[in-house]
Amino acid sequence: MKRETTAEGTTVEEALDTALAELGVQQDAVQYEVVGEPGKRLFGLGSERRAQVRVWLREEFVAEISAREQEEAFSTEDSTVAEAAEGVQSPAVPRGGFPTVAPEELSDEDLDRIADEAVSSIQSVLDGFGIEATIEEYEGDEGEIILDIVGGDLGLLIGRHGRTLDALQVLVAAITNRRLGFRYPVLVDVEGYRNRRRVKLEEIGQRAADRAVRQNGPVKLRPMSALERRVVHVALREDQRVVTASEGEEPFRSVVVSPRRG
Amino acid sequence: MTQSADTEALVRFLVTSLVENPDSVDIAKRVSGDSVAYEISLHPDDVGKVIGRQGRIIKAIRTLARASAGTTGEHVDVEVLG
Repeated sequence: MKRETTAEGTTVEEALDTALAELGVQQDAVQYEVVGEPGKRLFGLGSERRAQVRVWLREEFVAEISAREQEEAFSTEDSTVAEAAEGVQSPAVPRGGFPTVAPEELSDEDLDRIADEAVSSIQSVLDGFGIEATIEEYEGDEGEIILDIVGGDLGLLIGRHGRTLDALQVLVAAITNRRLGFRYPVLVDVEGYRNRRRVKLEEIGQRAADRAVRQNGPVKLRPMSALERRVVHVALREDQRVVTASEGEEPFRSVVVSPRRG
Repeated sequence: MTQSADTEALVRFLVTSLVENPDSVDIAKRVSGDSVAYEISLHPDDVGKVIGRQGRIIKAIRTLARASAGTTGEHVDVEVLG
């Protein structure tokens, strides 16, 4: 578990909340400093400047945290398709203790059951939001189950930069894995947002590759979620001119596109 | 097409679906001014499951809870009591 983090928010309090969530502790376990005060940009242009805090664990809590860390090693973990696919983690010990099951190992009935579980958890979330919508099922190129929530004004479920959708993805995957006892790629979408977003991200990747080649130097993209980073990596995989890598710590981790040497 | 949101029911669904011991889940709603805090008590074995690695799960729960309450203008927090 991390012992220090920085986080942003519209207020210092909100940034602190985010940092505490990331560290998984309550406020009495940490010390913090305000790195950036929230405020308006110069001339009132652009978006508001966000508050930034650096938060670290108090010494006396570190011991307690390592105990909790052990506990977590055996606990349910979220698995976004993205993280599994980014391939950074070693597959030797499955994260969260749920074995990953490949699409070809399952019958149609199994797939129906997985989709039913995921649909039912999405439905419960929609109920909590007071939203009536339809959930459409698709099969993705790599056998993943895609569940697209459609039916009107659903921007609330997408959120800024797709953050709400990302949260929905994390929780639906975690709940589905827990109910099934194994991990299977389920992708949640809202009104085809991920598809539209993918096209845009592929363009961003292409432009970065062109620039990296032109400048003969690395080009760093804005911080992205694991899913977004994966889209960029995949889009540039075939591009012989460049190589891609992810750098930095979540939630500021971003793709760096560099010209291929030699 | 939209009925009223029920943030408490949403939090309850998410938390009970993630734990081994749903019967031990207790959610207390604390309201002060326009802030609402949902304080979750859990079986000790389930704390890690609801927090998740690097707080990913509790962060996602918070994000959804805030989004569901978004239109009401209240500030929503979700905390796990140790």
